[in-house]
Amino acid sequence: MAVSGAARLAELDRLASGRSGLHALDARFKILLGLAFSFAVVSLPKYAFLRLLPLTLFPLAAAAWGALPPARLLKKALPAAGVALALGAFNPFFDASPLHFNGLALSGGWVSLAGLLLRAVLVAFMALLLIAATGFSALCDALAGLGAPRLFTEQLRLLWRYADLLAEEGARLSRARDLRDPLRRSRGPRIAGHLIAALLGRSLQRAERIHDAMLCRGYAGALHRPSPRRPCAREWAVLALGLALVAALRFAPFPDFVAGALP
Amino acid sequence: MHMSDALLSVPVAAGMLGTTLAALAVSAARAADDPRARPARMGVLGAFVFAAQMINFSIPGTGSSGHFAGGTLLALLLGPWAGALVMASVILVQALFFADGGLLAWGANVFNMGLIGCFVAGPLLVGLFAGPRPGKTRLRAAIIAASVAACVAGALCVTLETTASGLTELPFGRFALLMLPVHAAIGVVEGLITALVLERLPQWQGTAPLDGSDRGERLRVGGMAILALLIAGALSWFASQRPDGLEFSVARTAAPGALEAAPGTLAGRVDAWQRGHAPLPDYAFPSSGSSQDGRAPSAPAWPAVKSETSLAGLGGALLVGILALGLGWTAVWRSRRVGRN
Amino acid sequence: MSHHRIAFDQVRYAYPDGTQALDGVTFRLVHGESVGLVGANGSGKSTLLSHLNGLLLPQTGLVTVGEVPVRRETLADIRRHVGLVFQDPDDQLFMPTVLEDVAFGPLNLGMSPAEANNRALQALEAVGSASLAHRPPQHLSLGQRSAVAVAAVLALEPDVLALDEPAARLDPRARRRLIGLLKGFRHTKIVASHDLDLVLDLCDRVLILKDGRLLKDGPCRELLSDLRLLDEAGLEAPLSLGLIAPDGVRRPGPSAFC
Repeated sequence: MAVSGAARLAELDRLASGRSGLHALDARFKILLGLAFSFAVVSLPKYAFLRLLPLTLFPLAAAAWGALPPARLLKKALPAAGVALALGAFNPFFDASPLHFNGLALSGGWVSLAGLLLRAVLVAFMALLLIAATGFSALCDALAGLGAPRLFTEQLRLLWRYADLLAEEGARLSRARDLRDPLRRSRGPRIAGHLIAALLGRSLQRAERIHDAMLCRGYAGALHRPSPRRPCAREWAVLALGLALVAALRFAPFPDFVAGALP
Repeated sequence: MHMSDALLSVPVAAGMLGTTLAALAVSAARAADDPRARPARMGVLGAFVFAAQMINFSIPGTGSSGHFAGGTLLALLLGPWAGALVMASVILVQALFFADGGLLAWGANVFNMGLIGCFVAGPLLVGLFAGPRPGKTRLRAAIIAASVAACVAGALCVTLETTASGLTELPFGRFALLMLPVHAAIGVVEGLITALVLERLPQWQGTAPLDGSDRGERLRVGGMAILALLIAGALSWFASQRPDGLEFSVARTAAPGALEAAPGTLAGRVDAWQRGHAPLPDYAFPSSGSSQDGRAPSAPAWPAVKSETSLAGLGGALLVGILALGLGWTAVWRSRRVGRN
Repeated sequence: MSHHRIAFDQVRYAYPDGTQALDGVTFRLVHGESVGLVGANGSGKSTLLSHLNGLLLPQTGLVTVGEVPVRRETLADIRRHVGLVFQDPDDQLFMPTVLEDVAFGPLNLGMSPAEANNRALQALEAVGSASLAHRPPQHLSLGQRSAVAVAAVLALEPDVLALDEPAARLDPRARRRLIGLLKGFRHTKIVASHDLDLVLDLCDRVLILKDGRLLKDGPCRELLSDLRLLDEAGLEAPLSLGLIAPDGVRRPGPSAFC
C-alpha cells in the first residue's frame, strides 16, 4: 500500500508539469472552479440522477483542455464510490417511492443510489483533476492567495516535501517486520505501535535537523514567498466562462425522473 | 470514516466547511504563539501521520485490518491548535490524492477527525481524565478513554451529517447504533497505540502531556463545552415531549389561543416569519423526508431518538459556542489593541 | 571586521542525558585555513560544528567569530558569516525547487526576490548545478543533492564554510567532483569527516578529537601518518598514504613517510 500510495503521488505530480492552458491558469481560479462544480453537484436534489449527466461535461471538458487522460483519472476516482455505495446500498430497501421517466418506472431507492454513486465519482474526478492540473506547491501558494494562513500553507508544503521520504522509511520498517515474520504472528497493533514509535522518533529528529538547517540559513520565523502575480484579463474571462458553464449545466432544463407511478 | 461530497447536502457541506475554515483561522492565530508550532516540525509530523497510516495491522479476533489515524497523538505532541492545522493538511492531501471524498467534504472530514480529535481528545480530555501528575497506567487509561470519546464523537458527527443531508435512507437510530460501537472499538486500538508510542518517546516518560499555565481554566471550560454538547446531542432525546411548565400553566388558566399571537399584529407577523424561515422549527426537520408512514403519533415515543433533535441541539450549541468564542475573542483583541496604544 | 577568525576557548558542552560532548576544547582558526576535524563516532565532531554558528551555545567557555562572541543576541549576524552544511542533503533541501532552496538564505537576509534569485543562480553556477534550478530536490541523485546543499549555504556568501561528512554517501565520481569543488573555494573551511583521504586531500591542518577533548592539533600530513596517534583516537590511516603492513592491517609502526 505504501508503494502504490507513493507511486500515485508521483504520477499525479508528473501530470501536473504539463504545459496546457489549463495548467497555466491561475491556481486560485482552478480551486474556485472546482468548488463551484462541487457545490453544483451537491446542490441537486436526491432523485435528480439525469440532471447530473450534463454536469459530467464540465470535468471532461477541463480534462480535454488540460490534455489529461480522463480514463486513467476516472479509474483513480472509482474507489471513491466505495463509501457512497456502503451507505447508499440500503436506499433501494428503504425507499420504494415510485418514479417514472419516459415510460420507465423505477423505485426512488435505485435512482437515489445511482445518483449517489455518480456524485461520488464526479467529485473525486474533480479533486484529481485539480491536483493533476496544478502541482502541489502552486496549490499551497494559491491557498495562501485565497486567504489561508501562512503557517498552514507552509507546513502543508513541507508535508508534501517529506511525505514520500517518510512513507519510504515507514515501508522499510514494515518490510523489516514482515521479513522476520514468516508465520504472520506479529501483525497485531502492538508491533505496529512499535514501528510507528520508531518512525516517530526518526521523524522528530529529522524535524529538528530541518529546523536547524533553516536556522543556519537565517530563518527567524517569517517564511518569504513570492507575492502572487495578478491574473491577466484572459484568466478572468476563463473564470467567468467556467462559472457560467457550471451554472448553465446545473440549471439547464433537463428532463428528469418524475414522482409518482406510471400514468 | 471519511465523508464524501456525494453524501452531503449544500447546507451541511457549507456549514461544515465554514466551521472548519473559521476554526483553522483561529488555530493558526493561536498556534503562532506556541513554540512547539514550528513549520518544520508540523510539516514533518504531518508527513509522519501520512506514513504511519500506511502501516497496516490486523485487529486480533476480527481479522479485519486497521490503521492508525493519529489525531490524538498530534494534539498531544503539538498542542491542539497546531495539531488541528496538521490534521487539516493530512486530510487535504488525502482528499486530493486519494480522492477521499471530494473538495467540500474536506470541511466535514477535518471537523469529524481533525477538530474533534485535537480539541476533544487532545490535552483537554486526557488532562481531564488523567488529573495532575498521573502515573503511567492512569495516563494510558486516560489516553485510551479520550481516543474512544473522540472516535465516537466523530462517528456521531458522520451519522448526523449523513442523515441531515438526506441522501441516504439509513434510519438514524440504527445507523448510529451500528457506527458508534464499531468506532468505540477503533478508539480503543487507536488509544492503545497512541499511548504506546508516547511512552516510548524519551521526553514523555512520566510527565503529563499538557501545557502548564492556564490548564485548569481550559479544562473547566473544555469540560463544560463537552458536557453541553453531550446534553444537546444525546440527552435531548430524553427531554420530555409534554408541554413545558409555562405552556402548561398558561393553557390551564387562560383562554385557548392565548399562547398564539393574533395574525395581523406585529407579534403575529414576526411569529409567521420565524416559522417560515427557521431552519429547524420546533427542533425538527421542516418536512420529514424519510419514508416513515404518515400516521400521526398518538403519544410521542420516549426517548425521542431523533436525529433532528440531536442536530438541532448540537447545531444550536455549536452556534452559540462559536458566537460566544467570537465575541470573547473580539473583546480580547480589542482590549489588546487599546493596551498597545 | 573579518569574520574569518574563529576562536574556541575552553568550550564545554554536555547533552541533557549527561554525555559530555565537548570537554574544554580550545583552538584558533585564521583566514583562509582549511582544517579537518576527525575523530571516532561520539568524539564530538558534530557538536563542535554546531557551536560554530550558535545552533548550540557553550555551557562554559567562549566561541568567538571574528571579534563577535557567539551569543543569543549575535546569532543573526554570526549566521551570515558562518555557513554550515549538514550530512544529509534531504534535511537541508526543503523547498519545492532547487532554486527556491538556494534562494531561501538570501531572502532571509532581506534581499528582494530578484536579487535573491540572482544570488542563488550564482551559487548554483559555483557548484556546477545551474541546470538543475527548476527541478524538485526529491528527483535529484544524491550527488546532485549534495552539491545543491552546498550551493544553498554558499548563497549566503559566508566567510567560513563548515561541512559535516560532506562525501558520506557519495559514489566515487560524485565524491571526486565535490572535493574538486571544495578545493576551489577560498573560504576558511572546516570539514568534519571519517573520510581521512578526503581530509588529507583538502586540508592543511587537522584537529583530532577524542571523547570531547582535542587530542592533537597540527599539520595534516604529519598527524595522519602517526599510526599510534590515530590508533589512540580510534582511527586508521588514510589509504592514500600507503601505510599498510604486509598482513593487511594498518598497525602502528615506524613512521616512514614525510
